[in-house]
This record gives sequence, C-alpha cells and structure tokens, in this order.
Amino acid sequence: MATSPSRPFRSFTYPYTKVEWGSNSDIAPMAKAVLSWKGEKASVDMLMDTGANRTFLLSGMAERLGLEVSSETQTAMAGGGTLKVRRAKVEVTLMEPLPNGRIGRKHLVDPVLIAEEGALPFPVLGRKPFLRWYDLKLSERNLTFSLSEAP
Amino acid sequence: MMRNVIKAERMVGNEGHMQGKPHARHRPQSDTPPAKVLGKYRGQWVAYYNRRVVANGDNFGKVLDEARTLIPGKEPTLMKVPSGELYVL
Repeated sequence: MATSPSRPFRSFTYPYTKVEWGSNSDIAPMAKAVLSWKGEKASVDMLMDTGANRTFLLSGMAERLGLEVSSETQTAMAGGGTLKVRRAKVEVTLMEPLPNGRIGRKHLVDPVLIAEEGALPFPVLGRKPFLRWYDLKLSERNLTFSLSEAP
Repeated sequence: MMRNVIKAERMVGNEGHMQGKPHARHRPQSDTPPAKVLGKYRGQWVAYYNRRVVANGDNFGKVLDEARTLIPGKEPTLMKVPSGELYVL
C-alpha cells in the first residue's frame, strides 16, 4: 500500500549517544527533536528520561526560541534535590537521527518546565506527556531505543 | 546452505552480546559525531551536522547562530554533551 509522503513518520530508533575521553566513556539515550514556537525552531538532542514526569528545557533554549515563560517559579524535585523552574509551552517533533531525517507528528507540550542553565545537565524528554504519545522500547544491551507512535 | 548462513549470523550476534557490544546489523544510523570527538566538548553545547561539529560553546543561542552562519542552508542539531559526571535525574 502506498504511503502519502506528507504522512508523519511513526517510529524512530536511536543509538545511544556515546562520549569518550582518555580511557573513560559515558553513554546517554538521546532523541533528536525539533523544538518550535511561533516561527523559531531548533533541532536538539534530548535525554529520554523515564524517571522524569515532565519535559524540561534549559533557560538559554527558552530564550533563543522565544518561549513565553511564566514569571512565577515553582519547585521541582530532581535527583533528591530541588530546582526552581518556570512554565512555558513548546512544540516538539521527533526526528530521525540523520541530516534531513524524516519527522514525526508535531505535539504541543504544555507545560514544558524551564530550568536555569546548569541546573540540569541536559534537556529532558519526560514521561508526561511524551510517553502518552509514544511507546518506548529501550535496550541498554544493544545501546538503542525506539519511540513508536502509540496506536 | 541458507540454514548455515542464518546459524553463522546468530553466532556472530551471540558473540557480540557476550562482549557487550551491539551487533552492527541492529545499530541504527546516526549523524551524531564520533564518541572521541564529542569527548573534547564535555559539558558544552555543540552544534553538529552530518557527524561533524560545526560550533561549540556554553550559550545555546550563540552556538546555534554561529553554526547556521557557518553552514548556510543546512540545519544543525544541538547537543549538550555529557560531562562524564555522575547524575541522577
């Protein structure tokens, strides 16, 4: 059956991101996503974190994308400590990890929480609302993970 | 004959598993720069395109703008490179 070329891509498989320095290395499951808001956009690798119940961006990202960030702060728990966050909205579109890769359906994430630069090591794709839209299959053994649009 | 080929592939796969390495057939393609290249930029924002780091720094917006200037017409991807420190999120 032919598929319409304009139809959003439904399933994405990502390799873990690996970093090596000296005799050390680190790995992280990062998904490529296009963040957009009112004409501004940026393609960003975000940590897939099933332990986070929200999606987090860093303040420099929110500033560059022109997100409308609330003036009120709230406290979020992170790794046993706390951090101050503000609320905003952003559109998130998953993308294949290739130049000009195929893209998925655009989703409005409301709220996305904005943390101060340095408060978190990465921008984070959390469970809410992301795992309502995508099923996650993660294999640390094979260093890959997949996000498939939920039926 | 075909059975032997399949068996041989399975053996290679098992070998990879025993060594804790992903089998090449299962490794998805990616334009992320090589691990040793990323290791030079730990804790920084990098902008990359087609496995090459185009710009780097501590400010997301400046790195994005610099990369777009350096590779006009192409859209870089930004990554905050893991610093190698332990973290619990």
